Amino acid sequence: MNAPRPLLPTLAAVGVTLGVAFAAAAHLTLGFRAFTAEDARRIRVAESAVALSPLEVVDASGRTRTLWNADPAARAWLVTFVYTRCPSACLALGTEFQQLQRSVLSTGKDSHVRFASVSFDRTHDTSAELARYAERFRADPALWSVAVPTTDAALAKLLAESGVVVIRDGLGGYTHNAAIHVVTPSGKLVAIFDLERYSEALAFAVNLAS
Amino acid sequence: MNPLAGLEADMALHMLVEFPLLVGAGAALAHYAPRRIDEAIAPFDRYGLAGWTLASLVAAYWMIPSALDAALGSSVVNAFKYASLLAAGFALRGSLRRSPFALEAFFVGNFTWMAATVGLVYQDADVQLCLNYLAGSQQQAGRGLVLLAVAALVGWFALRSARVMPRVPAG
Repeated sequence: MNAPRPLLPTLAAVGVTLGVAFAAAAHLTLGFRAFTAEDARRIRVAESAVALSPLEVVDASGRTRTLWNADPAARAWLVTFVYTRCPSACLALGTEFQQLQRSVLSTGKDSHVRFASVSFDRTHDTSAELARYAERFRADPALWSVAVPTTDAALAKLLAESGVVVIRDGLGGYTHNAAIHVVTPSGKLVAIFDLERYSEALAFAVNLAS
Repeated sequence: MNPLAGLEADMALHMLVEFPLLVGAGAALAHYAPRRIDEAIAPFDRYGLAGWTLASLVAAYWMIPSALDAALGSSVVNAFKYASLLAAGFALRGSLRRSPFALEAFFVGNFTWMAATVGLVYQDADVQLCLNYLAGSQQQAGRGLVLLAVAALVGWFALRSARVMPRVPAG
């Protein structure tokens, strides 16, 4: 006679619960490698490039252009998201780009790397504001575009595609996952670097462009 | 339109008010549900083991920072969040009738150290862990999680000692 096994259904239910939870957690964390959305975004981009739609922008001189192939000499873009009123993180970003621009210029030959500071503050950042920002960091317009998307829809699409989340900081400004994005002229986002790793970002882009 | 969007705008409210509300709603649902539903579940939930396991795993999952961002970024994930927290509360209500003291102590203890640890990590992190929440909100959520961890332990013990104590032979 078979002995009754009253615990079997319970153990099966526990097994299924554990299995489903494990699968859900593994999916969310990309196999337990990333516990924040920002880490997951960077891993995802590093593993397979993310396509960005062509982006129509207005730059500091008031010109309308389409990134990412606006400059035929550009073979790699270093892209950051900014708002020109930003007091902290974007200031650091501006200074870093200024340094990178200097190191590109100091080589004396075209590295085919271009910089883009894309504003997400469409209400405030007019061409005049962008020009002021460009001037503050001595952006060379041939190398460094300071620009803002021409429509809210284009901006929203860019942020969604690149995984950038902008939130209000409660002090009249914004907070966002600031990083340096490497984008090819065909609009492929191929790498994301921490702000502190800006020299590595440049090295990566130079390598990509050569 | 999501009626709970107001709660989800702040990390601390999201985790410490919305989550317990959903678990509580699930438990209330189970409380008023027809008896035969619990009778159908009971064979799969001897000693409340399955229900406590489900509730623990659901709690752990929604403490992962990227899970919160995912819920805010996608209504499908958010619906999954509501469903899982309601289910955890629903299951827990039935399991509480079946679970022995030692098993509850294990799961409650487990929840306490987990929530407290996550709470300390949230407070210690020098970066913003969720894309959608400011660091200040994260600090608050961290402090709240530590309080919730302690409250869960104390609350459970108070609830259970009332049930367990009378069994201790007097004299």
